[in-house]
Amino acid sequence: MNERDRRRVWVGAVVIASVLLASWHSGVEFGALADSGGWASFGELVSGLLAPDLSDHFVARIGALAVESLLIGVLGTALAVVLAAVLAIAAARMPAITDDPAARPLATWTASAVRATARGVLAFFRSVPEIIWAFLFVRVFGLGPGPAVFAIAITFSGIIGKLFAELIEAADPEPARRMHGSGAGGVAVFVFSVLPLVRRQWVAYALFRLECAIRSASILGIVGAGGLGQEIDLSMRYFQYDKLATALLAVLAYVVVLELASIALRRARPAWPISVFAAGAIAGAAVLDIPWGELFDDASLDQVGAFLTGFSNPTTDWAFIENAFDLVLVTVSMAWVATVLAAVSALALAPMAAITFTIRGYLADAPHGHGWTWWLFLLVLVPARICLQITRALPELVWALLFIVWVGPGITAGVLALAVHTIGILGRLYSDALEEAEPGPPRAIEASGAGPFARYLYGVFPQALPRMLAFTLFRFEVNVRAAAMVGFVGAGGLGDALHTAISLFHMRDLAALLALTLVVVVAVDALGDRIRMRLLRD
Amino acid sequence: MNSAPHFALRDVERRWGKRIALVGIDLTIEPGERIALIGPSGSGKTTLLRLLMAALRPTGGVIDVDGAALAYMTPAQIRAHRRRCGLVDQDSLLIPRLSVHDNVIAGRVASWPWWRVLASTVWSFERERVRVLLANVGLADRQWDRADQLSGGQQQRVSIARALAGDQSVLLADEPTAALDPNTSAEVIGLLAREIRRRDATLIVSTHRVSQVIGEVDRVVGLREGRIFFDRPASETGDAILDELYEGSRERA
Amino acid sequence: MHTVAVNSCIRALRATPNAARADRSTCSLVIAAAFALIGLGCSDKNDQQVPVIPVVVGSSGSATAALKAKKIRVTGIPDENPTELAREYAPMVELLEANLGVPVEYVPVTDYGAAVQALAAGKVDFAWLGGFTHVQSRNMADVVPLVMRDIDRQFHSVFIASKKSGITEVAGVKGKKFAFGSKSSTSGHLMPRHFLLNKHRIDPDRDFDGAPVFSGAHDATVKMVESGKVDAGALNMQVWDRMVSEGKVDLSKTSLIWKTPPYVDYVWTARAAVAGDVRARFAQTFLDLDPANARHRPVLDRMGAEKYVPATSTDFDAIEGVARASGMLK
Repeated sequence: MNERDRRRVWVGAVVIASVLLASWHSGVEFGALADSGGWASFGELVSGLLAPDLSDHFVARIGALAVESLLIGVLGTALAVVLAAVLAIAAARMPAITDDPAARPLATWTASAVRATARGVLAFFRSVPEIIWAFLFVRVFGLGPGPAVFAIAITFSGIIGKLFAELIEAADPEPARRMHGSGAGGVAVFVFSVLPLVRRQWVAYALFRLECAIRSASILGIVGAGGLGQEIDLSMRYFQYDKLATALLAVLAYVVVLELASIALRRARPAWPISVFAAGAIAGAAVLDIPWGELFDDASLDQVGAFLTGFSNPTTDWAFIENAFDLVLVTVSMAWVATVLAAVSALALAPMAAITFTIRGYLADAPHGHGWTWWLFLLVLVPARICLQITRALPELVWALLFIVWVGPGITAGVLALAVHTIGILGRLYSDALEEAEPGPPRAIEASGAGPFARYLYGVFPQALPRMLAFTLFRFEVNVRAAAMVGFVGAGGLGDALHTAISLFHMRDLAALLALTLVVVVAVDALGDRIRMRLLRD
Repeated sequence: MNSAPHFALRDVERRWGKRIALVGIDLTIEPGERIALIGPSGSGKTTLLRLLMAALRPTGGVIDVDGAALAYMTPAQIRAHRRRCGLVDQDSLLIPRLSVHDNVIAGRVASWPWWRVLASTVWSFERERVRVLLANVGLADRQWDRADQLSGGQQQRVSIARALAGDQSVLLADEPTAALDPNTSAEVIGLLAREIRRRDATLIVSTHRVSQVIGEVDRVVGLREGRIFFDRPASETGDAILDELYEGSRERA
Repeated sequence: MHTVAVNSCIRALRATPNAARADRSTCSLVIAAAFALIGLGCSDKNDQQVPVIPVVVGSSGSATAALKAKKIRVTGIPDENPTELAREYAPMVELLEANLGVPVEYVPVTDYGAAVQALAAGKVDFAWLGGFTHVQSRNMADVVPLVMRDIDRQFHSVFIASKKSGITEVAGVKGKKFAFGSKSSTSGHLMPRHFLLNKHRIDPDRDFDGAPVFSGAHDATVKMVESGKVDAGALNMQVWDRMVSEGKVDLSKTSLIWKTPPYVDYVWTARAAVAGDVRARFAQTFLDLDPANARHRPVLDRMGAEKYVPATSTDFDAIEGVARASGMLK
């Protein structure tokens, strides 16, 4: 056996073994998909989906909820961007300013303490899934769109703020240094010599995240926070599959329209998306019933107080902590099994969905025989694309609810939900990576008379592999967080424990669990960053 | 070993929109013939090679392979024809991250069933065969190195091994040495000719390095502005006709 | 922002479904959606014009807050589906408005804890809580129990199983899939857990096939057992009786296997900050319910009760003990 084979067999064995181990540890049973009860539920689901509730009253309600979701997403992101900018400025180390040797020790110490705090806040905000924030806020502010707006503002400020800070640190330090040297203060230096450098990237990233936030807003209603999600939750819990079907179709339409709109806006001049964003945020603030007044009133502050008290005094019950560590392992296992399953499926679907690979071929205008590209188009490309589009469009949480109907609540439903959604995401990313591969090698292989398998495995796949691995790893990181999220609606793991702690007002347990979530998410992120850097350097 | 095909081209034409790449091509190629295709850039050499391996559709005329018209073949027959043709391009088109072994196998997989192709991603099949192929091009000891660790000349030699890995009976070489320095180039051309003679395969090589090639082929076809300018035995191809072919261009070497 | 004309037009549109039914095209759908939203926005605005409770200051609020506000807010734990809850609360709200002479608003919540928190934070004045949620609320804020149904003094949970599972007695649920209701439910979780552990020596966290499932509500538990997604489950006996009498359970698929010993459950709970006379009138409204009265009959039937009786704080000490012992109250 040569070194190449040894390495591949070894890597393969490790991946398979780890998936088996993770499946065993988390207790996934894919057999549940096929057992008779499962099929019966699935049949009911499908029959409901075939006959959606299209009564005017219900459709109008769904339509109104969709618009509400949209406004929640936009307004939430607007708040998130403001919060993110503030936190990012506090968290970023501006090379020109902070490393001033002449500064007094106290000032230096304060500066680094502020930075560390801001970083910690950012990490905490983004590592706790928005559904959990939404659930907590529903408790404080009651039902309605307000909690969803605040939940999105918090989570996305963590995500956006991290990148904002990284962009500040990556900006050319020279203008800032010069300006600082001429005696300008920190704020002036930032506004006149750093902001102009990062402005474009900030705007681009905020708009990118806007799309994610709007998508996310469609489901937060599951915990009572307004928008489409609330219909999904109710119809699911009470087996009203016709209403569920309408709500799901609405989410699907919502996401597809969103994507088309964002493609159109990306092509337009940059002023357009920004104006639409701003107009949406203003409309959201005007139309949505947001309890601004209650944000800082005594009752809310009491809640924050109770929350922080739990944090200052997390649980010391060793049995609970031990169990929590096990749940962390289960959650990571769920994410890993789901990611690998999705990656394998996406490997098959991605070339089918890649137009160059499937239809156009790498030989321009070659004699193919008679009219078979149309068949390929109809039987391979279109189904593959529809499959990827649908799996990607419906958020993990919606998939989780669907699989809970199918296989019953628990880990299995969670893993399936994560896997199915990830297929859509990875399939799309993979097929982009395949399309961008150098056409030379696959052209040579196609010209040698090879079939699609050989063309894929020897032509494009080896070229796209590093990027595909990097995408997969990134998705694994995302899925660790998402695993905690699907657990929250009954699909097991850490999310389930978080739900219990919040439901039963076990604030000290909640503190311990959230701290653990934070540590896991940050650790997996950091590990992923390292491996990714190595992969892409290769 | 596949037997080499008989090509017959009648009044073949290829246009890209309004631009004419080839026009009025009448050409017969007997099995085992070694042909050099020469002419200035843009004279249609690459187009002609791609037409022969069914990688490009002619916009006019007929290409017969062993008496059957390419235009009427089924997809399976076209693939079968392509499997008989090996291609050596100007750029070696190796995949840098893969081993030399895998790059050679890439020229072999066309005749494998799909499950074997799949299995070959984790298990190296036909090691001995690949070792022999690599030995023929003088690279037996580099089988398990990554392709991007090889020099330009070595990479081109791997691409020759790849082009012949599936017992191809036709080798189409499109300026195989254009990216190499003259010494390496001569070496690669010599190797190419030796491998072809060993297999009684047909060779059609397009090149600007006329002097290096002319001794290795039976016949020289000169193309100019998409038409056949001359078609004569190598022994009768003198400097005068070459000067006339390359008139107004400085590419000839 | 929105003119009155637009608003009333929307109202008219929403009130007469025929107008909308005339055109079912996608276009009208979008327009309807947009308009419905504008309608929503308007009605939100209108709601805000009605003075809400001016003192939203937690447990230390002014004692006469509710009366001054001329509005009372009530809520209840969402132990059944919202349609059912709306049907239960609508006649009660009507009755309360008539007796108290102030508008009464029912604030829906989707989770048990939210009802507790709303009461503790002073966002509602009265809440219909379960035994366990009442105990939670009294540990979080200053609250007083008011009245309960006669059946609540001797409340039971029932254990049900699907016929397919072949389970005929509680001991049989060992090693099977089992569903509770909400995590915070007394009759759907706390007491069934307590009896399983102490009477049948079955540890719900260890002895089932996988972790126990939480359906979220009593009627959802029945649906889960009926569909075979779980083999057995436990729920509120009153809900079970009503579903059986209304024919909402398929008895060929599901059967009752055990009825628990009695315990104390549901209670109307008030914030201590609500003025004493308001509390008294609220309680009296329920105590005066008379099964012989044609107007009262439906309310009582709906709640499965003959009459309401006063409740005291000590009634719930036993529940608190159970909750602490099981680790559900920390």
